[in-house]
Amino acid sequence: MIAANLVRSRVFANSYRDSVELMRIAAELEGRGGINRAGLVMATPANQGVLREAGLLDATAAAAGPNDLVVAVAAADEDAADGAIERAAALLQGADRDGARGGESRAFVPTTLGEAVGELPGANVCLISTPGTYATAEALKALKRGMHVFLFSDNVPLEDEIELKALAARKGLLLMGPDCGTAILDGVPLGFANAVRRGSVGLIGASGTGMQQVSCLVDRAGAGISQAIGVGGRDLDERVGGVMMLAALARLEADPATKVMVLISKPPAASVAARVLDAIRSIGTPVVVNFLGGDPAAVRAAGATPAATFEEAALAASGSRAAGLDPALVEAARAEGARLAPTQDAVRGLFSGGSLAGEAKLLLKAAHASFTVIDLGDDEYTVGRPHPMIDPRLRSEHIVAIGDDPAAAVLLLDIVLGTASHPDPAGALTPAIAEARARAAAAGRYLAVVASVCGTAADAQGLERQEAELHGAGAIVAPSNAQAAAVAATIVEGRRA
Amino acid sequence: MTADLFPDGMRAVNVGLAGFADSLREHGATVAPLDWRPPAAGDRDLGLLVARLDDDDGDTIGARVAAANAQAVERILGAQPVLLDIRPAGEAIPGLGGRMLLHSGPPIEFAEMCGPVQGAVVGAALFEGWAGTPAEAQAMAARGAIEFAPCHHHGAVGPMAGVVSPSMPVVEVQNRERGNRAFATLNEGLGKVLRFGAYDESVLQRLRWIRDTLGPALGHAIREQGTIDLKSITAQALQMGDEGHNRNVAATSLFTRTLAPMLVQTADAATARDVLTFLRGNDHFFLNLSMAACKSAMDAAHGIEGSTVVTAMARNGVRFGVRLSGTGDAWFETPVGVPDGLYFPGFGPDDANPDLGDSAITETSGIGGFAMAAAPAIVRFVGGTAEDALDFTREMYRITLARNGGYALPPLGFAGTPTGIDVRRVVETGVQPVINTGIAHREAGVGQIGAGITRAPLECFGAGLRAVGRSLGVPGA
Amino acid sequence: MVSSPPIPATSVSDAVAPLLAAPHGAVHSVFPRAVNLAVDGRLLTLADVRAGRLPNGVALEDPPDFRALGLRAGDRADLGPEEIRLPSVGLAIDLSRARRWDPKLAALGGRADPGRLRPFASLGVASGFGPRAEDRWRGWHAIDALHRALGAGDLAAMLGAAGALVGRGPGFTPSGDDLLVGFSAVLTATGHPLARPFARGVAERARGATTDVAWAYLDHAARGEYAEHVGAVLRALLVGSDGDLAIAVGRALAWGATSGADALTGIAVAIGWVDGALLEAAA
Repeated sequence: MIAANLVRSRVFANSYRDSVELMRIAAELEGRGGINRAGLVMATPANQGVLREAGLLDATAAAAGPNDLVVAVAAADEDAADGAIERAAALLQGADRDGARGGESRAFVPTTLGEAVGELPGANVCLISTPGTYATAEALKALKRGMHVFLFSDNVPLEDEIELKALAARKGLLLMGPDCGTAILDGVPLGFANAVRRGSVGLIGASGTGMQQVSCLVDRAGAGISQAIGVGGRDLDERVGGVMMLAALARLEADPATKVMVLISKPPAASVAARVLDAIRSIGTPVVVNFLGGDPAAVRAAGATPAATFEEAALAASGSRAAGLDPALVEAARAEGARLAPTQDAVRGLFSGGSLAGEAKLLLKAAHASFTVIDLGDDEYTVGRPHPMIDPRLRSEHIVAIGDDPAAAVLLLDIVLGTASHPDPAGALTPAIAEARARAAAAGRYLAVVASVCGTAADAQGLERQEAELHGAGAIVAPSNAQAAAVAATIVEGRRA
Repeated sequence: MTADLFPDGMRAVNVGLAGFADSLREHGATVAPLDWRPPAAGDRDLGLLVARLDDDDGDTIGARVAAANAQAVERILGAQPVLLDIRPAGEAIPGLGGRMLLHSGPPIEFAEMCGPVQGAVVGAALFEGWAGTPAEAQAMAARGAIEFAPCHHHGAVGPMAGVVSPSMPVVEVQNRERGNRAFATLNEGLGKVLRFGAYDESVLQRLRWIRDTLGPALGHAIREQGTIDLKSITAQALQMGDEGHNRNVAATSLFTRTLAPMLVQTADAATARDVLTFLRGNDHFFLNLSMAACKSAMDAAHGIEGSTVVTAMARNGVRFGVRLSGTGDAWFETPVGVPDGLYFPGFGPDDANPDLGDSAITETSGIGGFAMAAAPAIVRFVGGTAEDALDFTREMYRITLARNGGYALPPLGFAGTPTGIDVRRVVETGVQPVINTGIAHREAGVGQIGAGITRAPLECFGAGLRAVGRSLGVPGA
Repeated sequence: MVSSPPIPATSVSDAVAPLLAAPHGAVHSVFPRAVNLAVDGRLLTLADVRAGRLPNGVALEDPPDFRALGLRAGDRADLGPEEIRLPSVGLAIDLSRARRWDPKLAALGGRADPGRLRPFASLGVASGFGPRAEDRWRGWHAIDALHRALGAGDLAAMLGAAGALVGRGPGFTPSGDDLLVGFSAVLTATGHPLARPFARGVAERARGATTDVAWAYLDHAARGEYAEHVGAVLRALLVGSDGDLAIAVGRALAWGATSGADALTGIAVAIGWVDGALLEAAA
């Protein structure tokens, strides 16, 4: 008999369990170290009396009503009590997920998509991130069952993509992908996405991190996203024909909540671009188009607003004007530039987001800066290892190496927050950043660091906290990827070693 | 407010990276539990074929499969097998004549047949008087003087060796719902019997008694009675501890009770006594009736183009064969092994014959091993618990299209038996149909040496699925 | 959005048919094979027909697992004479072919022979309502008092003892309440003069002193309405064969986790098999 110093209880409202379950849980709790007695009862007056007689009634349990389930424990110390109550809570919650199947004992866990739908009738969306080999079959099954599909997998054959999108079109369903990393449907982030305010900007994109950047900047500008629909990296290829982009355009046009649309992708094949712009021409909703590096004249001719960067697109859609590079940032950039050694003249970009890398390249080229930009999310770096948005180790290694690079003047980084990303991407890189700067300093050089954080305050990692970490590491933090590239270009402006 | 894509909330299935599901839940979506693994054991093409054959009312192939399966299931559930008569096989079974013997399982030549089946062939030849000695009989069969055909091809089914010769009395079962008929011999009992390959004088004597006394007496009583509703007996027996394949004592008792008064009325006292004594001592008598009843139901569902429903599973001691409703006469076969199980004292796996018999027709139609929940004692043969018996039935729900409410299982809350094996689901999940089976000694005539729970081999179902795919013009089948 | 096909209802209890005119209610609680709906302050239960018909029930043929569907307390229910809809999970229940069922237990009269309670041996003690001092629910003296008060025909004492049992015990229908339902059923079925006043008195005392679900059953008992499995046991006891009784007891035991057993204990208490026999079984 353990000396019981304290009684703890917790009340669960609307939690109805049969007596065998409750007694089984009570028995398990009583078997735990430090627990003297445990009781799980409906808090009727009679049972409260029983609890009192058993020395298990505290104020919480006494205040509960007859339809409340009370878990009460008498324990040797706080830790034991809290642990036991958490365990009971977990068991009660687990019981919620196990349905009975013709009997009470074994919980059946589906192993196929069809069986999962059987357990969840009315399933309306399917996320697929299996190896590409199996993705087509799963997507077919999902579409046949009337679900929209978020197809994250890549290495799906082109013919399969064409077949799947044709089926989806016949059924009026979205097939987002293959190789679609980001979507936000009804405010719920799918894949790698951010917790963004709900609003009236509809986003359609063939670039995952591009969509993340636009949606975060829309949120930062005080506006919100109605739906963010990914169409997959290859949708605008000649043979796929932009099927999903056209379907998404039609869908958002019909959506009363969407008041302005943003389209982002690499420049599409000519025939596809024409088809998309044609569709835009007959749409009433204002459309902002960023075909990264594409021709703005054709966009204007279609009655849409061209945007050269993700930031421009986000601001145009949010009803703000692009203000250009913040003068404070320009000043900070010049100050950094003054500290460089003569050999240092190049920007070294190490990116986790492919579209962000692409945008940086374009901007640095246009600024005539000397640079290299590496997308560590590219296939050659991700074979056999997790994506850099999840695992920062490879990028850290590259960052440290830059400390030894005599031409490296600026380290340019993207930090992407949101679901599925690393819990503290900035914090994970700061040691490497410090090491790189130290190495440069030891060799008589000054390594400037410029970064932008693609995220929101509502993301688990916290935008402010991440930006602060980077500040703390001596980085100049720009509010967008485009501005970060501009700052980097400014630092090396006019230098040719 | 804002117009939603999912007005009643997002209900998601997450196939792949588990982490994606967490943020869905955090944002209020309901996510189905799913422990995904690659379908068809990782065979991409087979997995894709399953997907292409999946129901879809918006697609020609998907709609055809759905409609064909619905029809097949309707026919199985709607079957009404009744016992009409007992008469000589040569008279009752279409196409059985001359020097011809039926056998269990898919087609096989004499030279290839396993010990017990060759023994049964010899015994049948002696019984018919085609040969005077076992050596003569053996020679006849070896040189091709006897024609062989699967029972299944003639509307019949046979347990173990399943050999049927023209003089043997067979039960004639009719599926009232569609009018088709099915046949099986009368069960000889246990010990030294023809179906395990024995052919000595005691066996032949018993076969004669069955031909001259048992068959005619039962047949007469049945004709006078009218018909006997086999579905009703099976339904009651399932609630009395039988499962219709390895445990038949309740059904045999109900059958005996049903027929006894008429038997006493139509037969002389000595005959009635002998027949009833025989029935009292033969717990498995109803097995053959159960098999014929199941055969009549599955035959009704066979031959529906586009259907992926399994209509036969049978073994000939060398190969395991499967037939599908939508692929006509084709058998999908693979070599069969020795069943896993418990052996009677003195015997072991080295003595065992590979799996044999048409009795898996019971599982094909949803009873037998599929109804193991009704007979938990069976699992002792594989060292399991009573709960395991329920789990076998629960597992079969995953690969079947319907539940037969006519055969309710009390331990599962009166759920119906898992009925209508769908080859798509077998291939996709890798869940193999479970079969309760007896184990025969591999030498002719020794008899049963054990019992066990075995699984139908996956290869047959993969081959069958491809054949359905080809028949429907699915690309890549 | 994909909805599932409507689930057929096979029967509707007369006692709750009027609630179908509601037109709205809310989900009160969700279980794997049953859902309670709160409608106009009463509880209506949707449950699998194979578990037996309920006095407040709509019996369903082959329902899905409601918990796995994601149905939650508070979700809206739309009611009508032809259909019940649960829009949050896209589920509809088709009432068009449901038959009406009368949950009123007929007074069969007669006395049940306590000797016939053999199949009830060692019940009740399973829930911890036994006579041993360490049985945690400490309901034993209340059970004893209830039995003696019935023997004396003393309504006030019966209600006093019953009051100590209301809301007492494990489960979301506390064992004490299930016991009182069984006890009342005997009074009703044997046409005992105190049947109605006792059941009504218990329901009044139970209001606010026990869970909503348990109170619903006591409320129905006050009107002479009982679940099918309870009625079957009573009929078998009073006018049926031993085989009927064994089957009925078996089905009652399958009800809930211990609710059936507790109801049977209540029946045993009322019939008088308390003192020696139950004590013997507890030993």
